[in-house]
Amino acid sequence: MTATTTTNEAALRAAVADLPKLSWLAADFVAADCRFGHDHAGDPAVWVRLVAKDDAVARPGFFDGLFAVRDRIREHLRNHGLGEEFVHFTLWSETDLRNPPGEDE
Amino acid sequence: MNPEHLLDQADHLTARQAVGRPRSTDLRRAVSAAYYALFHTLTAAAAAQLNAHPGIRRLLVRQYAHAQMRDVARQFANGSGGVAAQAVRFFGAIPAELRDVAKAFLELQTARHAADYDPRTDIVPTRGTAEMWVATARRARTAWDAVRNQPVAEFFLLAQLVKDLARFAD
Repeated sequence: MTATTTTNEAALRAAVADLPKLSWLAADFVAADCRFGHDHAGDPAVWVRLVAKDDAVARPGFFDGLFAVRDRIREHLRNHGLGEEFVHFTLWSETDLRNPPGEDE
Repeated sequence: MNPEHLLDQADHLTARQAVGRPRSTDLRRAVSAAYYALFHTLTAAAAAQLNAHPGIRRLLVRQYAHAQMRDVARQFANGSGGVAAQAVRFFGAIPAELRDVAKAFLELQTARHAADYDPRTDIVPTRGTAEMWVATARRARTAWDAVRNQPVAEFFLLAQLVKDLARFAD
């Protein structure tokens, strides 16, 4: 199985990138993107990264909003043939963008 | 294994600190703990169905295989196909809460595999990612509590244990 076609990749990237423009997400999220590749076992995978404002995670109800957007993205990806096991969601903060995570020394 | 204790452990591993971020190893372990909190929630529920000696119930729990559980969770998450189709035929529908549990199981297992097996540095979970999976496991446990006494949930547990149950469930 391939992750998706190039055309679909472009469509998915555009759809994910547009998410923070939705009014109900704008309060907590500043960006979203996705990239395609393979997981550690060589299976196709797509990584969806949501970037939240630094103080958003501590806000009441934050995860409810996150789950809603995650479900929306999943439905979109499922319609493109990508089941849950191929999708890797990550949640970054603005600070993570400036100082990306990595393995400890 | 107490699932709540696993989630407490995950909270501890992701705790916000005055300076710096948690160690990457701690964040990977937190994701793994979140998956196992749901895994043990389901296997313990199955064992509780069996009126038998505790040692026999422990043996039952050990029979659950991650790959089989994933396959059945995928079918229930989609609400169709294989044993999920049998569930619909028997019980009318798969409750939304049970589908949420199945989806969370798939998501958490995928996240756990990446956390435990993928050595690439750009796969290291952020603290937010680890917290997201812990919250996912908690939400799934709440959803499970809402459906656990329904026959369709018991069927879900049986299907996660018995390979090819759909062949026998007529």
